[in-house]
Amino acid sequence: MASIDVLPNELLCKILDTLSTEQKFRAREVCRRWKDVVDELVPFYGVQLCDEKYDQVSTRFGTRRVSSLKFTCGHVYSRHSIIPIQNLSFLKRLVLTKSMNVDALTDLITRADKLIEMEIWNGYDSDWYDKQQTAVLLPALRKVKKLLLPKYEHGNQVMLFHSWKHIIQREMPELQHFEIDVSLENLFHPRFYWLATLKPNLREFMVQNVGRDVGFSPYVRVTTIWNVNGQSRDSEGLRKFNFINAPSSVLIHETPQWETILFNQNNLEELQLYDLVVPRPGKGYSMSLIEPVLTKSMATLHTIRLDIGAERIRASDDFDMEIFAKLATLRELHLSVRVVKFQAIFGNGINFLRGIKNCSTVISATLCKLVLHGFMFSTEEANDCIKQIAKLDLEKVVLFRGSTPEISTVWKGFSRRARKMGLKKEARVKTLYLPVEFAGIEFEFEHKKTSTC
Amino acid sequence: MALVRVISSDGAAFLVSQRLAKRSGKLKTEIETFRKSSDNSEAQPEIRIVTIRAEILRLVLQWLQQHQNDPVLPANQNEQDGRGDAEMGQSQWDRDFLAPMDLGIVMELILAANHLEVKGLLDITCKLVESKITGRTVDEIRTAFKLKSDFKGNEEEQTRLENRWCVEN
Repeated sequence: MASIDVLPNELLCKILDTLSTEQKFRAREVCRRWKDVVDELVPFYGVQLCDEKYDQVSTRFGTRRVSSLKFTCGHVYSRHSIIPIQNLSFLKRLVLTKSMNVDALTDLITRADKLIEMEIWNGYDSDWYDKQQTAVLLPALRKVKKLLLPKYEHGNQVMLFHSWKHIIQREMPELQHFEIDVSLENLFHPRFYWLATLKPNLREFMVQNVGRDVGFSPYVRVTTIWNVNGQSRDSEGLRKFNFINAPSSVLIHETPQWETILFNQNNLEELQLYDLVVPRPGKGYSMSLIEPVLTKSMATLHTIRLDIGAERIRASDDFDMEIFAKLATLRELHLSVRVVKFQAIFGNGINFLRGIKNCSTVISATLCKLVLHGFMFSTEEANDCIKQIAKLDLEKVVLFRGSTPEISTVWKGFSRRARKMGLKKEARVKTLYLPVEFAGIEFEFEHKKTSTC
Repeated sequence: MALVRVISSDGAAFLVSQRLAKRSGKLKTEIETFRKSSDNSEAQPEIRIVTIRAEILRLVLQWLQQHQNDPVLPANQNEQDGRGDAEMGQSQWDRDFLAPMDLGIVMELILAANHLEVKGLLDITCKLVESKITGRTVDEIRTAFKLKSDFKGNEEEQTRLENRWCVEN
């Protein structure tokens, strides 16, 4: 009678591949063949070397093929020159948080010849950046495609920034993705201009707030992604420009190079600006001032997220929905007012409603998703708003907290209300639910713009 | 109705419609090759399957007969969308079909389905074997599949240590 031994490896592999990870580990213990097959299926492991004793590391890792390695220990390897992991030829990602014995680092870099991602922590230890360590790292850096320097900045390490700039520009031809964490205040400094102009063919640029350390100003993470193979003209140009929870008005305004980059784009696909405020009288980025940005990319923009810092915006900076009419490919529009001083921008909401009322002719015909966050309406205004929004022939609308003071009253029985309003059947709500975490309302319409969404 | 004669390794002949036979990738190729090389378009193809005995071949044809109206899945369906037949749900007929089989027959059926390129049958038979592994201890798996540990020295202990580390991490 045939046993499971008659199955070739490819079929045994097919069977074991459907097991859970935990069950796969159990299958490794059945016999040598099953162990080999499972190791082929799950060949890569993420390993973190922390306070392991040197000899235990070898036992624990055995002959595993390691794809990701993180060193959170430094002292252990000051006495050893060999990394006690047999197979490093599959290592793709390396995270270094502490300084290491140069011999051990040399052994690691020499054997890990497929490294494509490196994450180097500075923290409070600047030993990484001495010339000897850099020289050891360079062969690996030349092939690296993704480099991350989290919490990079500590103190005033201007020279280190320059070092990295030169390394990236001269020694890292393959680099496509670069992230660095710096303090918000330092980001304004001219020495950070190079972040935006580091390499040609910038495709994505993102500034994201990543919190703060005690005693330090907030950190922002700057992410830059290039297209290193962009030969054709079509593939050139920035596609995504995102400021997430970082005051874009201030940052753009204070750093002219970034302003130049943003205002010279013709093929933006995604634009996200946070805290559109006026930092000083006469300057800033209200809706009217960013209109040129939207106009230049009117044929490519498909997603816009705008957070309006109403706290400081001038009342005369009127909110004009017509600006979106020019965007022929717009699919998602997110508008947010983070503070409750709604009237400072929209009076009593009339301007906004007027814009909404004209939406059928004003908003891009391709728009599928509309997200409004923080707009305050009276119940009556909200009713009117619903009616107008429903006429827009959208696929999905999300209204977050602050949209109305009486959510349950206004939205209850929306379909019935819609019928009374004489809305077309296809404009009626298909699903309606309240995302608890946002205290918002999301509803999908029956009719979908399938051709563009 | 065009027929094809399929002959098992032990000489048993099965006369089936070409439409049914073509649901097997292997038989489809054989039929098309025969057609190209034959001068007589009316001639009945004869295909010898030297690796599959009659009992197993009958089961494969029986399964094909039952599923003759199912859509034919590409061979790499699993890779394309992560779901194969087995995950899309076995029919009650499939469960009744597999229920009386011992593991030895199932193994032969897996080999046959693989050889004849009958993806749906291969999926449900592999799934059946997987179900005999899931939830069992190492010793229970060895007993179920009549396997013996062939680790040498402290290999088994080391494997266990490695696994413990994986779970811990």
